[in-house]
Amino acid sequence: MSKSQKKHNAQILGKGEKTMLFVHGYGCDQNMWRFITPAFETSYKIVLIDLVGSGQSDLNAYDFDKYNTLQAHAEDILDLIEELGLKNVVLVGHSVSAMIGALASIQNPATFDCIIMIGPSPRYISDNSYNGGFSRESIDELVEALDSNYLGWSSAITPVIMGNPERPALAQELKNSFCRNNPDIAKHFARVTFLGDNRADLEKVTVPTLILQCSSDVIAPLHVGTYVQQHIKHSKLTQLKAKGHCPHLSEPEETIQSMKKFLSAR
Amino acid sequence: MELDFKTLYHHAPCGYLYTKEDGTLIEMNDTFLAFTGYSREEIIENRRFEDFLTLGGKIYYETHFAPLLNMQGEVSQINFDFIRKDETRFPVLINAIKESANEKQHNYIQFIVLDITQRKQYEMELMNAKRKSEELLTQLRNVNEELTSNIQVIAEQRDQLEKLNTTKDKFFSIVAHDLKSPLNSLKSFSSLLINHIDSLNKDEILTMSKQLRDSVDNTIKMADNLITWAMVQMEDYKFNEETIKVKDITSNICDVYQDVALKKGINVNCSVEDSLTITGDKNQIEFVIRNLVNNAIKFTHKHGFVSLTAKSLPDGQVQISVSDSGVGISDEFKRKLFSISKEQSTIGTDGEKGTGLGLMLSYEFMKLNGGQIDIESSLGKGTTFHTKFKRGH
Repeated sequence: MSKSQKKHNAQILGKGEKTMLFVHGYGCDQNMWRFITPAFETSYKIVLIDLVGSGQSDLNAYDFDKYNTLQAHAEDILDLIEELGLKNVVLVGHSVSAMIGALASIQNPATFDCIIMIGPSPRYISDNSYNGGFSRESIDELVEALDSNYLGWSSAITPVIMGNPERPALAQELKNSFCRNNPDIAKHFARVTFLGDNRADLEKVTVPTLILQCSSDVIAPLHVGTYVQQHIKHSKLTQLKAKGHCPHLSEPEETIQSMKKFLSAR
Repeated sequence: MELDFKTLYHHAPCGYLYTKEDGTLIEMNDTFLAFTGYSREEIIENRRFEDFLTLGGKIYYETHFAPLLNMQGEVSQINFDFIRKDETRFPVLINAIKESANEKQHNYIQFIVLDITQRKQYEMELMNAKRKSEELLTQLRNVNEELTSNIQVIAEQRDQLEKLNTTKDKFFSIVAHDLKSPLNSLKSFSSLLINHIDSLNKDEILTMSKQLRDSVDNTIKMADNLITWAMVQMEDYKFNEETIKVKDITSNICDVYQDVALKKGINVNCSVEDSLTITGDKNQIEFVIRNLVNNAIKFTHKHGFVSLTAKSLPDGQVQISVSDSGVGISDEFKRKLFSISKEQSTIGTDGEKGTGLGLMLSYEFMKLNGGQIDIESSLGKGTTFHTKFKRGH
């Protein structure tokens, strides 16, 4: 197993000439792709990763100074692609990882076939001329919310085996093993994610890009998705019926169809 | 009694909430309406669960709560701040289950909502107490570190005091021997002169007077050294750093010692380049070199040689060396040469007396000038002292 593979708890499945690299958003881990990946396993090599500091990644590698910008995560992804010798990569990035993917593609466009952004936002905080949807205070409020929700963070809570006869896919899953994040890292990553500004980077993206936009998404509203589409040269926006910020979890079928439609047209 | 489930449901001591999979409210009980201040018509089919949350709560809902609910089918004991109709807030604890329905029906989510205002206050008190105790712990750790370092300082001071005490003892023993002996000889010569003045001839009186003068000279030298040493010990000596031409120091010393050396048939060779300069206190450096030349002559037999040389070192320092073809220094003696631990001064090859303080003072001065002093010596063959100084600007 390569160094980066271990660092990111990278899982490789499926087979195909092209690779689909899935990168989860803030607050979760690679488990969030579970309803999407089966649809692509027969025609793509699938690589799932946890960003450093999230999920089962190497938490010791999370240097608070280094990961002060999204660029460090983008470089991690390029390192992994190089170590695994991946080519024609379709990068699927959710939320903040849509921007991380954009940064990686700017640095090395030749590696990527295309980017699929789910709920991207280049800037969450509003100013006079831009409506990102959030105020500075609301980010502090989020950090407070993190402080008072010890979901899976207390050292006393360990994953328990959960049976769910009505959803066999979930049977024997480890409850509380998803989206467990170290509280200090979660707070730091929240600030890096929600205080960042990558608007100027959008115009540097040259790789063909699909933007999947949910309806009533409070994190990345429609006008932000439109802004992203208008500033990336070869981009297309598909509006989904799915509500919320995680269509790959709430409406996986619609998400898969939109992805397939874009990929087959290429 | 007959159970009325409808009453139980609406008057339950917690809020009940049913939503579609996207969070749109489809049913709620009276307790939930009482918590939030809305009427059923205002919110049913019209609001989503998220709409009751603060912005920070919305982000948490979308990035943690919703993914977990989707993946696990249930989430429990999550704390949010709910916003009432009048925009006031209250803390709640949420449990949620995602109900998977059959093909005809849609999935829906069941929530229970507990008002935890008092529990939250208690939690905040606990959090504050925890924060405070962590602060106190940090303070305690700092105080402990300070104490440990104080203990170290005290131990160092104790060692220093012990050393000073030893120095003081040795100092008295040197004074007792070296200062007292010229005074004794002064006393005996002067008594001789007083008691036998009539029976002594002019030559004898002259010889005794010369011896008297030598004793006085030596005593004055001794007193000078003692005063300087005492000043250095009391850190009262004014250090005056300047750039000095090495030749200015060496030629002056060579001139002064030429006569003394000639009397012992010793040739003093003094060759130093004009351009060499060093940085330091001129009086102190002169003292050191003078002392080394004086010692070299003192411990060299008749017809030997003494040389005074200087050169630039590759590391940027300047080395002034004093060599002699004298008696040499034993390894054992080398070790205590610069300390006050020597019992007394050593007599020269021609019976010269010393103060026993010269090398020790030289060593102190080298330290003050940021220099170094080293010895190369072999018994019976001679000795070389190397002194290294900072180059002048």
